[in-house]
Order: sequence, then structure tokens, then C-alpha cells
Amino acid sequence: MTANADRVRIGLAGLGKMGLLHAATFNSLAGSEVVAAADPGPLVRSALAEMMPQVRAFADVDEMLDAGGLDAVVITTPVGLHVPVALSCVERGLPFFVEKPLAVSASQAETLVLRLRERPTTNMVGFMTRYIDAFQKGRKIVGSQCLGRLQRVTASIYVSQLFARGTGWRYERETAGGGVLLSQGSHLLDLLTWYFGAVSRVNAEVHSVYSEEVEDFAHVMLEFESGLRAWMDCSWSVRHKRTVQTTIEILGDNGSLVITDEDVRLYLDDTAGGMAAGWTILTAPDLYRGVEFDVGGPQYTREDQVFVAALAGGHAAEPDVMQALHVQRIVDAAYASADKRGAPVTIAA
Amino acid sequence: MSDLQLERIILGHNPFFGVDHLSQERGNEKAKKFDDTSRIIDVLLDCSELGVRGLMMSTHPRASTLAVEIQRKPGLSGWRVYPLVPYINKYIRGANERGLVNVAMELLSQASLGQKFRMVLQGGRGLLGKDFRQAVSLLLDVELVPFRHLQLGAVFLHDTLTDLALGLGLDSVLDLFRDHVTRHFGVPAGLATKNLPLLRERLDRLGWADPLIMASFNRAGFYMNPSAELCTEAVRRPGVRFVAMNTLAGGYLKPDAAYSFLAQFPTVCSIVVGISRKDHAVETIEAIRRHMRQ
Repeated sequence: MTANADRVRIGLAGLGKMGLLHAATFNSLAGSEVVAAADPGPLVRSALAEMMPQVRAFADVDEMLDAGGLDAVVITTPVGLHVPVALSCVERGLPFFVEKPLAVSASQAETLVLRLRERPTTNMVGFMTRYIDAFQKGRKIVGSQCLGRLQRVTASIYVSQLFARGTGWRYERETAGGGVLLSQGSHLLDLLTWYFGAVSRVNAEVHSVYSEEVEDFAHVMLEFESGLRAWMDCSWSVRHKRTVQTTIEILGDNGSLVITDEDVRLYLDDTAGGMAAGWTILTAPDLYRGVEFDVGGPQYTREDQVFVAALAGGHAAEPDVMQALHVQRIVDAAYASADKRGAPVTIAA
Repeated sequence: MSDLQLERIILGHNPFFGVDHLSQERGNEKAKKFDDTSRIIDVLLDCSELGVRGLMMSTHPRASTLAVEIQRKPGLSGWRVYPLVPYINKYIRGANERGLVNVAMELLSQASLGQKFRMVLQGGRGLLGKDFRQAVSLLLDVELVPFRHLQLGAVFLHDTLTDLALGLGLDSVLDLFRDHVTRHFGVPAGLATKNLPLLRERLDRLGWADPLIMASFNRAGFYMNPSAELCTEAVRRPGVRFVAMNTLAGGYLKPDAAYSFLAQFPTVCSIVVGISRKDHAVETIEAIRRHMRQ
């Protein structure tokens, strides 16, 4: 890749699994290229130096930021470092894309929000499930109001990931901030708040089978500001989910809608909101739209494209830090409720 | 690149290992059915009667057991296996727990004794940093251990790795894969991808002659990037040996419609198809034969 004045110059903070995925994606989009990367691991840096000599390698993120030559930073460190690195970007006026979840806690996220108010810069949080075809279609259907008055929402996110004591940073409270509710459940919370608005009250229970510091299961009742209620369940220790499996089921006066990672199944008593009565079933091939470059799923490409477009001023970067802060507040409220054996916890508007 | 001919029809491993692009639920049903390896062997024998002799196989945890069963079965002696490496879920899961570097180190430690000895001489853990290329070759050897007693038809690089290399501009990794597979295993090296037009363009620039490429290709445009039109153009253009997968778009297309479409493209050398039932095998394989005479 050669430097091109028209392409946004990206620096990557953290070259793990997600760092590689975003590096390959940003490097392939017409509007961006990766020019620098920071990772504390000497093996990663030496492999980078050998394989991608055109990318400047740094051991320390601040060194990379101080070296200059960047238009934006992509933060793919362990969760505990997201906010400190984002703050370093804000101090230098650098736009940033940060992987989900935003922070280990709402209070850590708030320090970033406060600083961004003083020094606004483009920012985006990597809740990529918003960019999955089926969930985009689902939101359009909900928005059409074809279901009539909404009665009830049930949702779940499951993956077969942990069946022995976990050993990495993802299972340490200090670095990860929480267990499956924050790690995977935050995707679902982002979707639910994107679909139905802000949450005002939470009841929750959590429990662990394999982890010592974080939860392996979480069961959460949500009450939205609209009055709608939802029940959600999440776990990374259930069997037979070889990839993350997300489901949202919505009941309304006029029918039902079930959305999964692959498909959308709508049933309506009567034609409404431009949707026909009876079953409308859209499977993965119906919903699939190709992307400019795909490694790991089109949803990652779409969110990265939105970020690049936002840098050019042509698009809102969503979800952003403010929206991710609300997700953190729901998660914190759920943990607080679980500590009180499921007592309700209110979230300030 | 080796000139060995590939089988025209290659069975895909997805149904056997519970992978289904349309429904995870349906995938789980198939995983249950094929939990008993003998039921996979039954499908292979049914397909053998229909003249099929090729099987695509990832290095799924069950690959070793299946490889042993294939080797034991006299009715499958003429079959060739097409490994798809590495088994990417293993790396993703491991990375979620222990970090990518540690996963790679653990796999390297599974290398045979001779290789291990060589690694110790070269400084063990330092190998990954000092000689990335050799580490990659060694990882490839480890991935192929389950298939060592079977006849190989070709070895394919998993699309996640091809596309990572493509996106990061690691052209030398693609060269390395091709050279290692052709030299050490004596079979063609294939690249699976989700970005067919981009990969063709890159390989043209790198001077690869008649590359072996595998990608989704169907008239529904399913899993085709950046668009069905550009993928169709990339398959139409001569100078590639193309292996079409997802030809039925996960069951969305009927075999006749799917294969009359594919028949328009002389570059298609093989078709990978997932089969889980005998009636389905007959219908699909007959449709391929009917439409795609060589």
C-alpha cells in the first residue's frame, strides 16, 4: 500500500484479534489506510516489522500518537484501556473508533464523556450488531409500527465460549469490567436501546459457574422510558452455539416479529405500515448485501465505512460514546440490582 | 503450481460439523445427526456410489477421527481429501481466552518431535518473532497432521486468513502458502476468499499463473463481495481455476437453477456441495452432471 493523500491515515492501538480484523478492513477501504500500530507485545511488533514494513510499529500508544501523521485512531486494546487511550486521543484532538464495550464501568465512561464535551471530536463505538443485515431490517420493521402497540420483548445472546476457568483478561474484573453481560450482552443492550429508546429501570440476577471474578450468566428485566418492558438472557457457557447467537422477539397487538443474526420472521394479523398480513420471512440470502471488503463479516466493514464517512463529515458516527455510556449505565444498574438479589435499580435520565 | 486435476464434485464438510449459513438451529440438527461418525461415512459411501471422490475438510476437532474412519473404509479408498486450513474457530476461541500469540505457541508445541527439536535449537518462543515465515510453515504442517495418511487433492487456505493477508497487504504470506503446499505436499495450493474480484486482481499483480481460488458463487449473490456483478466478471475472466462454493446459497436455490447458472462459466473446475441425505445427494449430483458436462 502506498500513502495516498485522499485516504484517512489510521493508527491502531492494540493488535490482537479485533485489531487485525479492523486493520485489514481499514486498509482495504478506498477511503482509509493503516499507517501505524502500537502493541506492547514484542512478538507482535517484530512480526509487524517483518511483514508490514510500511506500518510504523510502536510499543506504546502515546508514543504513536506523539509521532504524528495520523488522522484517526482505532482502539482495540483490552477493555480497561479503552478510556485511557481514548482520552489520549481527545487531548490531541484525534478522532477515534473504540471497540465495544466502551469501558469497565459507567463512571470510567463518564470521564471520557466530560472531556469530549470540552474538546469534541468524532468518535464511534464498535457495536457491530447494528450493522448486521437482519437487525437493520428488524429496526425498519419496528419503525414502520406495523406491530401496533408493543406488548413485550424477549431477547437473548448466547455463545459456547467458556466451559472451564477462563485464563485471559476477559475473565478479570479489573481489565474486562464484567463478564458475559458487559462483553456480549452489551451488543444486545445496544440493539434494544437502538430499537426502543432509553432504559429507566432494571432488575437483574447474575451467576457464575466457571469464572471467579465475573458472571457467566445474566438475566435482566428492562423497563424502557416508553413503559415497554423487556426480558433478556445472556450466557457464554451454554452448549451448541458455535458462533454468537442473538435473538430478539417482539410481541405487538397486531402480530409478532423474531429477528436473529440470520433472519427476520414477521407475522401480522392485518396489513399495516406497508407490511402484508400473514408471514413475511426473510432469510440470509434475501437480506445479504455485498460489501467493499469482507473479513469476519460485512457488519464490521459497514461500521468501519461509517466511521470513515463520518471523518469526511458525510455521516453521523453511530453508535457514539454517548450512546455507549447509556449501555454502561444499564450494565452497572444490572450489577447493582444483582448485588441486591434482583431489587429494582433506577437509571437517571 | 501443481497440475493435478481436482475432482469435479467435492463434498463440503459444513453439514457434518453443524455449520449452516441459513440457520444455526438447522446446523445444530445436523450436528446431532452426524455426532456418530459412522453416519458421515454412510453419506460418503452413498456419494461414492454416485461417483463422488472428493471431500473438503477443515481441521475441526473431529477431523482426526473422521480421517481414520475414511482410511479404514475400503469403499472410500479412491477418495481424496481437500483440507481447509486452519480451523479458524480454534484460533478465535483461543484468542478470546489466551491471546493469539499464546494459541500459536501451543499449536507449535504440538509439532512432531523432529520439528520441536528444530524449534528448541532456534530458540523456542523466539521463533515466532525471529522467523515468522518458518513459524507459519510449521503451523501449516501441524494443521495437516490429521490428514497425513490420506490422499490429498489440494490444500486450501481458510478465507479469513486469505482475506487478512489480502487486506493487510501481506502478499508474501500468500506466496509462502503456495510454495510450502506445492513443495512439501505435492498438491495444488488453493485460496478461499470472500473477496474474489480483489483477490484475482492482487494475484494477477503478483504474477500467479492460473491460481486455484475458492469462493461463494451463486445466482442469488449470496456471500458475494463486493457485488454479484463483479464476482461474475471475475469468474468469467479466463486465467483462474475456480472452485465454486455456496452454489445452492444454503438451500435457497433449487439445484437445476443453481447449476444451469454455473454451467455458463468454463473457469469453474470444481463445485463444493454440502450433502446430508441420500435423496439430496442424488438430486444435487445428478443436476450438476446434467448441467455441467466437461
